[in-house]
Amino acid sequence: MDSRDFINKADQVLVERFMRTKDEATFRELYRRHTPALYPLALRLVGGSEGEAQDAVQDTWLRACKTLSAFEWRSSLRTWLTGILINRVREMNRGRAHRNEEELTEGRLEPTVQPRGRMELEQAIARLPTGYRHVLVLHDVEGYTHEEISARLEISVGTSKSQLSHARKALRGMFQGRRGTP
Amino acid sequence: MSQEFEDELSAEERRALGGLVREKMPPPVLEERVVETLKRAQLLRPSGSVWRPRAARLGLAVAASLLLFMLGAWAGARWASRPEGKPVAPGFMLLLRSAPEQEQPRSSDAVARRVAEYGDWAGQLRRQGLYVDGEKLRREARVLRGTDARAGVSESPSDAGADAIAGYFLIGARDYEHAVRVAEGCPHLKYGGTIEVRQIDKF
Repeated sequence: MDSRDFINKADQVLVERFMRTKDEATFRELYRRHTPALYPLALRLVGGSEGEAQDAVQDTWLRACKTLSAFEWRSSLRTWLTGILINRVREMNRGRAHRNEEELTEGRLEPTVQPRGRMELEQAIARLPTGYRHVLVLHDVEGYTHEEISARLEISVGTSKSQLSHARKALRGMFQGRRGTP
Repeated sequence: MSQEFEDELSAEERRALGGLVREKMPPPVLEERVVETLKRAQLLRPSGSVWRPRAARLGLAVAASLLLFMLGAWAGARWASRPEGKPVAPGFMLLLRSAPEQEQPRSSDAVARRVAEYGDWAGQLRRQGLYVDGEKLRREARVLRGTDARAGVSESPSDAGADAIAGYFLIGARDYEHAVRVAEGCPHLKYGGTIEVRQIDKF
């Protein structure tokens, strides 16, 4: 049994207890085990807005608790929660009118300074068009395959690859904009 | 990947993306917000209260009223004439005691491992048809002591400095010998805890 098995087993014990008791303390334990991974993902997917990321995490837990009894443990609890989160963020994006992603192409992204650390990289990712950003975050940061992204985002594998390619070029474009300047 | 999309990350880019923070706790206020939202949606009950499914509450109130009426008659009949029906398998309570320093592992991984271990053991009992119930208990307590005048209440276990009851399992077993054998397999012992086996005294 490796550490992932232990973690899954511990999740099963907690979920079983929570389903039986609806106990606040047990829920808080589950929350504290998984939210530290959900929150940065939410932040990146929504483009850096803490308020939206928190809304997404809150809705994720609400939906999870409503549907926990139907969860069949075919994946880990973390994977299941992440799927709910991604769906929620996609819904939030659909509802957001006049998102300017269509106007943003790799050639028109404003250059920024050379990356000096994680903060600059996070900011650059946040500035990517939504579709590019989602694929790049899931593939290059979270390690999803194109097939998994295709299923999660309901896009074709080809679209996922294309979006990733554009996202990487756009990101490079942002950092190369001032290359050569002092 | 087709030629069209061949733009692999350089080692430096891979390092930069891989170095992004993967885990970050949101502000504590979010946890409280989530908990309150779940309570409003009646998906969560506050710690310390007894949760009842929404649909069951009305029925429960009615049942409780009926029970009050029936209890007196039932108890009188039971004391007067013990039924001779099929024997009930004896129930045993395993009281898990531990000192404060033994109760909480230092890291969250260790907590998860211990929870999983106790869960595995309870799962084995369940598969053998021996498990009835079990819970971990918080160390804080309210202790009531009867006096001549009125009950005194203190806010810590009477044996605060010693091993306190950290949890319990309710099991079915044929007799004390069987119950002790079952208890010997509990992972609580290897963490330095003690287990007191007590038979439920059915009357």
